[in-house]
Amino acid sequence: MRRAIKTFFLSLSAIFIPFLLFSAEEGVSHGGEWKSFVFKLINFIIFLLLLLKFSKKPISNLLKERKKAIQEKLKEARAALEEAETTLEEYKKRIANLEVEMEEIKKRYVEEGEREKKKLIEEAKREVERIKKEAEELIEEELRKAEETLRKRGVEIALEVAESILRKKTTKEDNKRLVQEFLTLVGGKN
Amino acid sequence: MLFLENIAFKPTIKLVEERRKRIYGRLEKAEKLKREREELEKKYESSMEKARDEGMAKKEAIAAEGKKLYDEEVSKERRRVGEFIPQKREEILKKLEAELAQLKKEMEAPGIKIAETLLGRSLK
Repeated sequence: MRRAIKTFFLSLSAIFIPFLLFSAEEGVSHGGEWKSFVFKLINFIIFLLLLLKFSKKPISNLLKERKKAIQEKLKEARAALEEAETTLEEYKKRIANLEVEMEEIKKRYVEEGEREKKKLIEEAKREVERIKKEAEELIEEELRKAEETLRKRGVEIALEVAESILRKKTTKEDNKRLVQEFLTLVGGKN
Repeated sequence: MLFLENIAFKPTIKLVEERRKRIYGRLEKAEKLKREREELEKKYESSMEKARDEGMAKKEAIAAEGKKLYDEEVSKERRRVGEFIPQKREEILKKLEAELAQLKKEMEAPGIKIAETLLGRSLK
């Protein structure tokens, strides 16, 4: 940018200063040829006016664009600075609150651990109850089976006693009578 | 040229320079603040990570206590039941044997009654 401005001014100077000096010199050397000098001066002024007329718009546009670009850049720089300041401020606050936040995190984890521990203790109670109930049911089943065995054995014992007595006490008359009764029973049915 | 240098070049260049400084100064400051923020962010994140690790270690230790208590309680009950069931079985068996012996005595009269019914006479 600096170089461009310098080049612009230098170019203008290189064109117009020698021209003016030459015109002045020429006017003086011919001793009073003011007419020619005035003519050249008018020419120069016309040239300047033309230059102004035709270069004003492009130069003005260029300057406007340049201005806009600079404003954009400034806005961008301001926004970047503001954002940097805001985020920095935010982090400074976070850092200032860091110890509290760290303690909160640890506390949260400890609470989670305590909840898990409590849950396991409750699960243990339920499991103990289940084992106890299962054992009681097993004992009850065995007791039921023992009672069943006793009932069956009672009838078996009564029959064994009867059989033993019958073997010992049955006489020939008893046998005859029993056969007779059996035949009557069978004949009656037929 | 000297005249132009003093009235045009120098002020213009000075103006441009000031503007450049203003823009780039802000950008440089923003960059510096960003670096500072990044340092703080790093410190913040590493501290939080450390807190999370410590918290997690505490949580695991507490949960391990819970697991230990669970195992102890359940094992204790299994041991108790493991001793209780054979003991109870033994009691049932003894009682059954005693009741069977008693039953043998008690079933003699019904046995005689059955035999008498079958023979149709008294066996006394």
